[in-house]
Amino acid sequence: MKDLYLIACIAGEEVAIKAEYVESVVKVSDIVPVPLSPDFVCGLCALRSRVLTIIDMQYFVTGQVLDLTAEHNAIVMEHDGNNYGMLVDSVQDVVAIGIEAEPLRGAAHAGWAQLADQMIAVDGKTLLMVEPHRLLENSPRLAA
Amino acid sequence: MDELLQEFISETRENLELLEGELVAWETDPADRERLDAIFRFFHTIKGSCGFLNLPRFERLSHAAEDKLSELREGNIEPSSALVSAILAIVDRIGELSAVMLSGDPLPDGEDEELLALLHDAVANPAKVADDEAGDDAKVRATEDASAASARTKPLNVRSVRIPLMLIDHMMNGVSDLVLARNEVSRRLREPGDEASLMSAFDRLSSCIAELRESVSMTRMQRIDRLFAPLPRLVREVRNELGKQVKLVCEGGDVEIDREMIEMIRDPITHIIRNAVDHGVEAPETRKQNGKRATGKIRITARQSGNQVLVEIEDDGQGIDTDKLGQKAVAANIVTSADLMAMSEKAKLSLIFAPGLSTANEVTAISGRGVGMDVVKANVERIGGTVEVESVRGKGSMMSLRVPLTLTIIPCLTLSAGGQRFALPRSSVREIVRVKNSHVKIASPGGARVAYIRGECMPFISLQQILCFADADEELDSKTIITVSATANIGYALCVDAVMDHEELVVRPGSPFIMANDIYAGTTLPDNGLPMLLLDPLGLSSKAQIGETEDDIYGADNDNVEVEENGGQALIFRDFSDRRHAMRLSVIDRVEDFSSAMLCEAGGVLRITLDGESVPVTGFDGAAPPEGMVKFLNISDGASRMLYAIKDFSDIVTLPAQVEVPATPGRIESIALIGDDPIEIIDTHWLFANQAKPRKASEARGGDARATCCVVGSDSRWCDAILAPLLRNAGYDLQISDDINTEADVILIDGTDHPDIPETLSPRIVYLSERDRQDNQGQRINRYDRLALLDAMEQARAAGGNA
Repeated sequence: MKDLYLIACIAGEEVAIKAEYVESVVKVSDIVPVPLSPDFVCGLCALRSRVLTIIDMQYFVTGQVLDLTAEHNAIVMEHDGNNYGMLVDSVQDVVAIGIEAEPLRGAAHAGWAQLADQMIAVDGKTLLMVEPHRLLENSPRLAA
Repeated sequence: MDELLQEFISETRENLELLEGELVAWETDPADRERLDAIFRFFHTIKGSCGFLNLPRFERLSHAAEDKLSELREGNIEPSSALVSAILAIVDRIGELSAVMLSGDPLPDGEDEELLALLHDAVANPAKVADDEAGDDAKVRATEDASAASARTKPLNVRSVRIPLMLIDHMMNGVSDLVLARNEVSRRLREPGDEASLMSAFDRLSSCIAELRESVSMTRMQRIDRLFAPLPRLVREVRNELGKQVKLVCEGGDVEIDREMIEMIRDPITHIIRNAVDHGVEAPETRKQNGKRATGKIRITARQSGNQVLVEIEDDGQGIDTDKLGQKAVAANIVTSADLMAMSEKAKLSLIFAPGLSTANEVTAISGRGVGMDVVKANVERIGGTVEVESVRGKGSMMSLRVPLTLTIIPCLTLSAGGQRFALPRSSVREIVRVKNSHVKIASPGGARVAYIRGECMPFISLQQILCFADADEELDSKTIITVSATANIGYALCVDAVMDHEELVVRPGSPFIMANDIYAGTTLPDNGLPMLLLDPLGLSSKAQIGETEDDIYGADNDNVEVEENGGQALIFRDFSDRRHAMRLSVIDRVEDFSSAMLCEAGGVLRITLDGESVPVTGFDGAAPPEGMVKFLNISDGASRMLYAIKDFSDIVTLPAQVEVPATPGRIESIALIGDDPIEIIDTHWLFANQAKPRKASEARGGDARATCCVVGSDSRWCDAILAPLLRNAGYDLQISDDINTEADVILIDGTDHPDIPETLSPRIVYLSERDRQDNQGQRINRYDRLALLDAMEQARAAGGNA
């Protein structure tokens, strides 16, 4: 059985995200900042009648806070009853892959380690497989 | 899963919750046939459906229980606590089995023989006291069985709601109305030009939406019964474990509250009830020694007040030992012993909410396990509620929980700070003032900023600084202060850029990232489409490191020494002769506007009928009430109420400790120097003493017999029809005769034609004259001058009594 993967770009690097997690990909602007929140939380954004919490994925890698004035691509997903928009640089493609992901061999850079610990081969390239849920699962502890 | 099965399970589970309470209530009164019938019906229904759905385990259990109940109904066996325990165990098992089925797993293997044996045993030996152990054993096994089952099962979070059909019909109607209204609007939009009819169509659309919103929010509402239902069982178990006798009384079960809210306050309430049984109610022997009934009473009442629900849990136990509590707090390093000495009784009581404190001498299985009242307080406050404790040593204690009616729609104040908009729950807002206002003064001793608002000092928080906006360099003058009371004893002045509006906002909890720092209570989406954060008043205060004050910041029911010293607060107002007066704030309930058309004179006093009660009005000083709306101070002495008419009010001031007392008692209690002006303070004692007089004449005599009054020489029609009711209401028994009854307390003589009067009686005599005729001796009273007549009679009666 083939699983669908979204190929997106975070901090200039291509990654794969399991499509079953992804509800949609939207462009977001007008992000309302949340004072005193952790740096990787950009703020809130309205998607129709829902409020998305916008998470800056590239911050984990680069440690640089994003400039929020421009439009950004956000992967919309739900986790634990809350809606999130995970900011990525861009979204390239959706591909079907027949093989399973395997554990990451070797140590990734510190930032990437929070985002992924598996890799997967796509069209001859080996990409990190980012699991946004795992990130959301672990991050409140970082935030608190 | 089979739809039929699903329905059976959800219905069974719902019935189960209600049943537990019934069973326990029935145990206390086995003669209650209605309850027995209800319990019987429950098992009967289950048995019926089980046969139909092929669930042999359910069937066997319910059949056994039904059997025993039917024997009970016929009077073949006697109810006993063992039997109730056995039936409760069966109820538990049915609940566990249905929980397993709900998760979609096959039913676990297992036999229910031990439960059935228990049931038979209970019938065979009703007197066996050791039943509890057997019951517990069985229960333990049952729970293990179930927990093993649930461990195997993945928790499947299916939550269902049962809604009355009528409500769904109502919603459907609402939706069709909405569609019609929408069509109307779209038609108007296509036909340009007619702005007015477009607006009216739009208004209709808006009202349809409002209606629909209301009925949708109704689907979230549920009777608080659901919260109360498991409590009797809880009390029963705890009391049996502790060997105490406790009765639980639930009141106000029909109050409706948001489903989510019920879930949120379930744990706190359970905890408080456990505490009440464990720590509050004493052992039966102790109670008897203290002259109380052996059975303790715990009362839980719910009522709605505004958009809050008030739940009170009251016990008649030993109360909270504040000394012991204080010692524990010192031992646990929560306060120093010096602090403790300075604390008021109320502040000591509130130590119960400090983390890591328990008054229990030893940890029991029931409570004192470290999960304390601090958790209760935190949980209640998280949902925007408050919890307060009252206690009288030896008499009992009371916990009051106030929680918002619903989580979803909260009346809010929207405000801006640092260029961003925020919302603040209106329930915590007390007042909004401009910084420029002459009553506001801001000082910063040692960097700690405080605001004086009309002399009252409170911590000053700048929202902009708290939220770390870059330009913390503020121009205070253009800003607005909101005085916030986060809880009953945390208050502060919150400085914001501007207050925008008052809106009802649909609030949702935010993601954990946002809620983590505790200063936000949720997110909301106002009509500009930009998400907005709802501030948590309590979180803000802890962020700003503001502690609790000892005083109740509402200041209304203050009885502590400090207030006595500064003389209390008073409202300055202008009366109808344009003089400035003051009235003590503590007697004023509120200021209200009424049309002067509502005024009517009765019993010589102006009155207004409010809520079916006739309330005396004063303050006009004989002047005619002006046309139109008049402002009234609604004052109360706790028992009676009175309205004091004023032209306008100007300010609330703190009275100085020293006041001048006038030479003669009267309308003016004292004269206080406010600024440079001497201001007369109205004597409310005098007001109530005098104003209530006409109505209270008969009551004033207290337990004395009614006075008798002998009426002489009057024409009978006037006397019977007009005079008699008046005098009877004023507390006189009437005798109408031609001769003077010398025994009577008061003698009323009408007309000029009367028999001779002995000299000794003259102080007791009141002469009446015809209407509109001036009296010839200056002693006659116009028979229609009600006040003068009653006054004269009262004097005559007093004179007669003295003679």
